Amino acid sequence: MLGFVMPLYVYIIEDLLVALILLSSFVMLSSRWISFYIHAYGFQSFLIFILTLVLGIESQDINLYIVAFLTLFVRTVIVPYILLRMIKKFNIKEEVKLIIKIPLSIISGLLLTVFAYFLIYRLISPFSPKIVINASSIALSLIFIGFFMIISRFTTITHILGLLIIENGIFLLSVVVVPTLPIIVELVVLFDILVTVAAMLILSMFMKLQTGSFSTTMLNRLVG
Amino acid sequence: MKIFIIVFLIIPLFASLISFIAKNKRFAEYLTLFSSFLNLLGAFLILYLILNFKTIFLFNGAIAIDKFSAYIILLTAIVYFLSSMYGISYMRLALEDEKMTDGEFFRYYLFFNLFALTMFIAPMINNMAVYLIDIELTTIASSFLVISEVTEKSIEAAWKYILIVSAGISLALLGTILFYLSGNIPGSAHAVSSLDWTYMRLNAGYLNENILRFAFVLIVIGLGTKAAIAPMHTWAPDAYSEAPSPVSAMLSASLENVAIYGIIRYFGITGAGIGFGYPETILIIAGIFSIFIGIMGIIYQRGTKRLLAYSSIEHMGIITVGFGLGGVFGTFGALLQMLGHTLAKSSMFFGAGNFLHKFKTKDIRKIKGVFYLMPVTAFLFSLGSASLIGIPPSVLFISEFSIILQSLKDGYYWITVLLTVFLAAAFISLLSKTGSMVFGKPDDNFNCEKGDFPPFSYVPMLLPLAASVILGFYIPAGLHDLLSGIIDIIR
Amino acid sequence: MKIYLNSAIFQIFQVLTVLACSPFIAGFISKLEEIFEGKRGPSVFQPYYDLYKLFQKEILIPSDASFVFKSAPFVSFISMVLITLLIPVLTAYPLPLGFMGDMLGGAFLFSLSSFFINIASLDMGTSYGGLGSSRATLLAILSEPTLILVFVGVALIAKSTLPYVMLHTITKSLPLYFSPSHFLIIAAFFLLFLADTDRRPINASTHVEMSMIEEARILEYSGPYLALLKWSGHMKQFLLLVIFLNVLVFPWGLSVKHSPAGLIIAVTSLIVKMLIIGVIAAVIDTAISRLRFFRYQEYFAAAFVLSVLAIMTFQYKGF
Repeated sequence: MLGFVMPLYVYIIEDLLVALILLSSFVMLSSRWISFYIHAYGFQSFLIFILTLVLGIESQDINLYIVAFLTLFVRTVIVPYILLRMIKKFNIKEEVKLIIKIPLSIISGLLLTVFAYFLIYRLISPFSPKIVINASSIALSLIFIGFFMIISRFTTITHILGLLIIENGIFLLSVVVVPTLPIIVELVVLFDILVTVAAMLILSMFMKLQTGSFSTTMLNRLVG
Repeated sequence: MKIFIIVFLIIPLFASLISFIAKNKRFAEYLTLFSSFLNLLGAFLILYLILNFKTIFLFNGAIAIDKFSAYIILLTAIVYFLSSMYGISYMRLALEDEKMTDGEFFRYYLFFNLFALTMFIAPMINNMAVYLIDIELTTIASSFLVISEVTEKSIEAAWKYILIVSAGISLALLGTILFYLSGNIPGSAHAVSSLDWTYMRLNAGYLNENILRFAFVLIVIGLGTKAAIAPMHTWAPDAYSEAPSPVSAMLSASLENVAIYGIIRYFGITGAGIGFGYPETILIIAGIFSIFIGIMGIIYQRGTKRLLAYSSIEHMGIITVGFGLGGVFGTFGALLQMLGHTLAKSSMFFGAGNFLHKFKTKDIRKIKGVFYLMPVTAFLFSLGSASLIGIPPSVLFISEFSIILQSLKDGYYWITVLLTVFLAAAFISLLSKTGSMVFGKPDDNFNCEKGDFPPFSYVPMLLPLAASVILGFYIPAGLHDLLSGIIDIIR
Repeated sequence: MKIYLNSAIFQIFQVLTVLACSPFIAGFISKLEEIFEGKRGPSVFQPYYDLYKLFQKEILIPSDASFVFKSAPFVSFISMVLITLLIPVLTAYPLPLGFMGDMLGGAFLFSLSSFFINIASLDMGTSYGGLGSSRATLLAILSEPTLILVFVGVALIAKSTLPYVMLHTITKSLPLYFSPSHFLIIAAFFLLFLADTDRRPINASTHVEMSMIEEARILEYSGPYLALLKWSGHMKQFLLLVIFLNVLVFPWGLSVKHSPAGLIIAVTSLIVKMLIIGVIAAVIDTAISRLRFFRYQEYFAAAFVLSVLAIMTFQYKGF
């Protein structure tokens, strides 16, 4: 995206993909059922995969292809699969407990998106074409929305999902703004995801064994 | 040289795997002790080599060890050694009290050595991104250590730990990406296309300023989560309190050092890029806030290890303020504080662990009259708390004094006043709490045997305290040169 | 002179089309819904028979009613007719009276008719009236900001608030048509359309379950008054669909010149587009169920978010 001149339809496709990604994060904010969350996350990862592929075609960079396919495997297939199986295995209740109700969550997500646009505009605008500003603002808003989800939901699975959304946002930002980033960073993100999910799942297992539930309301025990 | 470093790293890996596979308890304990001793020797050797050479580059620049890294490796090795020695006593007592099963015992040793390994790797790495991977690995390893005793509280502590620290590391990752972006803006004259610290430090003049400011803040927030700098410190009291004492010592003393190491590296790059005024301000603000939160925590605290956790937060704040003040005295004081904190805090955590085993409680109000029950431990504990607060002769006194001196020198009188007030408050509250534990008459209904635990429980307390007192009197020339060298690196 | 004559004829034809075709569309949609539910359903022309029947019946007025009760049907009907003059129903260029108001003026007229029916229902003196009007007001409060934001989005894209200019901008440049802000505006407006025309998920108005909003408001009306109100209800739905189709979704097929052929093409293309959307609306109506009253805010929050996102993504598009 930076510095390449492409036929117009490529820009249109990129724009649409990025808007859909943003919409999918709002869908996640507004859903009540955990499996819906996970499917929306898988869908979002799939969109990111397609976007990376388009960027790879645009810049003819082999790194982006590799990273795109890694994203496809890890984020779109493996992680949702693991999470869904965990839900079935431990009979986690499907309903998400919310601290902040849905309409307020949606509006807060909107505020965070506007804030992200403002921030990116201040930072990057002197030297980037407009489409990069759009995409990177959406990536930053994904990060904010991910943090918001960690704050405003109660279940362990949604904590994990919030972290995953943050990782998605970081990945999108790095791919869009600095396509020449060494592939090591993308690998860091993917590694982060896998390891974090694995560790948190094991902890959830322990949590289930001990307390018999996955609710994290008991996280109020240790205070002070 | 390469082989030496590889061997240095393989030793703890080897120790962890073998102690897990060969299910012999004595073997695991002594193997760990032996490997940590070897690592300690190795760390001294690295230090010696560094003092004579400039910087060691290996594997095509992937590993870069300079004086700062060697210092951190040394600190980590010290804690590793002490913790493995103390761990022998602690684990044996835990098995006796049936708080731990055998399986958990071996899992503890497996992850203990792995944790040490990851902390050794971190200062050696030249690449920013791989450093973050390593930090993530330390989180994973240490979270398994936190749940060594599987209780509800420890799971909750570990959950908070992983969640908060992973979120922080992702922010740090974002900061790293932005650091990279600041050097790679399209259309700029000189592209800084590498994630190596040394390379970025050399070319720091070519980095974009606005992005660098934002990225530095992100790094402070992200890595500050790992280093338990307020307001990202919330995982620390829980994790330190629920983990076994040797692990708490490693978490508090060496893991936070490694995180501060990362922040200071970025600090160096940012300072070289846009001048040291802005990053210093940020560090000072974060540091003062941490000290404040630490003091508040100490005053209101009821649990032994949580008290020490808040004291750690306070000390990390002092270190950050020291780095933020800059100048010769400030940085020197901060580096020396890292050393002093490592020595004193590990000793205190070991003492708290002994209290836990004797009194079976972590509540400060319930622990009284230790002096009658465990004289040696009580003596060492009170000596440790005096050393921790900074009563001379203690190396922490020298470091805190030099930080305050720097603030006077620079004319930041309000920082001087604040620091003095805060340190005095810490002095009073910590001393009162530890005093209430050590002195006084023990509860009569409390029937537990008198007498200390076997020597492995207090020798690890004795060694660092002795070192701290000796260093309080006299700082060897080698150490002085080392620290001056580090100051040059950072500035 | 000739041009003005032609335009006047087009204008009159526009109004006649709307008056004539709106009951047809309403009947078509209700028949489709019945077919989807497995029944045969009333004839497509049933609304015409209903209107004719109602015009023959006598008028009954509650004794406490004031002039508001008697004038509300007329106000509603006439404002609907006024709106048809403003929007592009048949032509792609503004007709002489089309400059009377832009889209905001159209929104005002919609609210005017709804407002009068609200106070008329309060005037009726039954509790159903209060219920219906309070719910209708709540819906209006929730949906008006989104509607305004949709118009702001349209104005940003087209740089004017006249619907005709929007039409031209969309047809002239295809990349704009495919931009995400355009699609988001379409989505937001579709959600508002479902809300304003009393479809599920806002309102369920089958003959078995009396709806709480629309039918409650016009409960006491009878005879020609009821006919006028029902007709204006059909016209509201028709007009919203016209705005939706001719301005946002598919602005092609409108006549560009003053020719009878163009007129016929315009009318037929309009009917065809209406039928397609009618099918979609019927499918949605039968597929989802009504939301609980307290969940209306989620629905409207979603519409609000969509419209704000449309504005935001428009600012930084790449072309």
